[in-house]
Amino acid sequence: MGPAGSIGQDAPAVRREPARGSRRSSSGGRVRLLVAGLAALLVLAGCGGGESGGGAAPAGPTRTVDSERGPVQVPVTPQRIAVLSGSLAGDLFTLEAPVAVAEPRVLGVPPDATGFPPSWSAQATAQGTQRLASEGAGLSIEQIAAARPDLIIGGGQGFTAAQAANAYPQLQQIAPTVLLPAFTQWQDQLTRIADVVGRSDRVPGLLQAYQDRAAQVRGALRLPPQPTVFLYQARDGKPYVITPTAALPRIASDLGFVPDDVLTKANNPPLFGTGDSFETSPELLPRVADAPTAIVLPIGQRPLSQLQADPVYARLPAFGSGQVYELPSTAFRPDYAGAMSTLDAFAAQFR
Amino acid sequence: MSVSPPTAPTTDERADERGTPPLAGGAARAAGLLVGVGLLALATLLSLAVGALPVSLPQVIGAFTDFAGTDAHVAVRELRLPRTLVGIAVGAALGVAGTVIQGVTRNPLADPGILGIEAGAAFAVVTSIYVLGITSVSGYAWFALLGAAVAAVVVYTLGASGRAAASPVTLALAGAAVAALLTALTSAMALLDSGTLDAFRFWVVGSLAGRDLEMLAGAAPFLVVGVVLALLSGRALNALALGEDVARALGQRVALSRGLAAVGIVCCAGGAVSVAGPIGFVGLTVPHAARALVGPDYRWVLPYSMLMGPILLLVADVIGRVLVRPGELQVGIVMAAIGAPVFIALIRRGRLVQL
Repeated sequence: MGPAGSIGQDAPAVRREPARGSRRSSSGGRVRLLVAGLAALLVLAGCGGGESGGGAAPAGPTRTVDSERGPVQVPVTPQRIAVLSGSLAGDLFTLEAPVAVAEPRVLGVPPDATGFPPSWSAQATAQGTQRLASEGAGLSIEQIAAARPDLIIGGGQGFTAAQAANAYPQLQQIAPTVLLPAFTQWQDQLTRIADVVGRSDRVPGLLQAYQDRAAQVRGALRLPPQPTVFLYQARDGKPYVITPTAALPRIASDLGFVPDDVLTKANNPPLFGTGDSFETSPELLPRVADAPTAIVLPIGQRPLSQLQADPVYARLPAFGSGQVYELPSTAFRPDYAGAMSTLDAFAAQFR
Repeated sequence: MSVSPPTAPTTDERADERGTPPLAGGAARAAGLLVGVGLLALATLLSLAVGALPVSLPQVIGAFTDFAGTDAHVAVRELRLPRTLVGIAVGAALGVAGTVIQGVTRNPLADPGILGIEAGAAFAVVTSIYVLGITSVSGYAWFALLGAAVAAVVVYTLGASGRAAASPVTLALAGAAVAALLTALTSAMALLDSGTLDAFRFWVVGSLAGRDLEMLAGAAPFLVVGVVLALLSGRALNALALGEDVARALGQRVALSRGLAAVGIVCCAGGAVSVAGPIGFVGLTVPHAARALVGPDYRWVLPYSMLMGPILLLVADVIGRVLVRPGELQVGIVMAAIGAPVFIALIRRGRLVQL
């Protein structure tokens, strides 16, 4: 992995060459051509250099932000952002940052007709954002390069973060690349992304809007018996329990719900991924998920109606008493828009 | 009419060339079968008693004699019993199917996959997910069965369409070609749509969990017919083992025997893959382990395979439940992890019987 500093040193020299040439030699078209050719060679050499050095640097004024791979020089006001994780893209649209190309996949959220998740497909279409076609063949470095981004943002939760991390050396060559950690709280994610794209000034207003809406929903809410357990069934048919400190139970807490202490009931099991859920056995579910109210997410494409027909779930107290509610998958690892729509979903479910 | 098929002395002579198997002689082999039944009973009990929820032996028995609806009783009756029965049925079917396919093709590396059965089932399942949007394992089952049958028929037709009748070689080649094509199409479809890939990648591992008895009942007729046909083909396979010409000289109707055996394989492997998804290594390893015990006589290898298949599968499933408690590993993963070393151990001990 080349140090971030060396990237900043090589490339500006490359970029300056043609500019100087064009200024000086109004008479000599040949000289201009020669310099341009040399510059092209240098650029090519830079590209071929791989991890040893070379890379892209922003053209305009820059500032330094933190990333998972150390400090990175990014444009003060990026004009063309490539975002390699669907879970990070939503916040960029919330911040009205210019997104040239975006990864459309979000866990458990089927895309709409535009190919983007419904929560930000309208903004993506309005901005003319390209859909990053990364299914199957993996991250398309060529498509990202063709979009000529001036800032690449990757990381976050899930598989796409790993894809971006693997491609980091190539991505660096295209534009300054900021890999972000896997956030478990949407507030942290929003704040960090806003910092990367230079729109931190918008964050307090957005957070206040959430607080206001939460207070409003909480006031009108009919609270079911507490505590509450949060569940989903993954695609492999295994039951997963969401930990009390994950984003969704936190949002529910803001509304007066009491997340059940499932970690103690499950004897502190090993946690999955970033620690926002854990797998449990169907055999243990009656012990772990014995709270009087249950909230389920259709992440594994098994809707509540199917779970209710499953004898394993049907025997849970919340299922028996009818205190089981389904929220959309976007509530699991929400971005800002997801957190707001989760509040709306709570308002609709618990009237 | 028929001349008496290859006789026991013939097979024992063959065995003698490579050393006598541990179980030689009818009495020893019959006793071995009884031991096998006992081991299967033990594996069944283990499968009912071991899991994420600690359940005592009296509770396991109580779940059947005195069902009280406790967590333990429900875990045994609703969760462990179905997967145990599925494990027994699928293990037996894969064990005998592997034995028959190795006999028919005279290929020690053959398993039901060689007829394109698993590739056909996978293709049908991924089509059902991608085109029809089916999401439940029981919904896949019929497609898997249909896909397995169609693929096997295509492979057999292609294998038999040359100048000669279906020979082991043309059959294996046709199977490899059809499987390669279907696998490519399956991958293409799964990769086109991330939702399909997500659903498919869990099916393709193979698992006994989450299968209800209805699914097993749906596949049961195929499994029963398949196992019966396979068990009946012992004599024919013994004859074929001597070579096609000798088999014919002994009065075997080679094409008919092969055809019946193939129907048995398709029913067994198709039924198994429809219930549990593709589970590798059972069909490959079990016949070799059985031959290592009783020698090359298919009339003994087949019943031994029928017992050893479910024992191996149930033990693998139990291991999968214990390794990553309270989660569990799919049996397909455990099977590959323990099947490969077992197979290598068999090879190193020189017990791989040449076919």
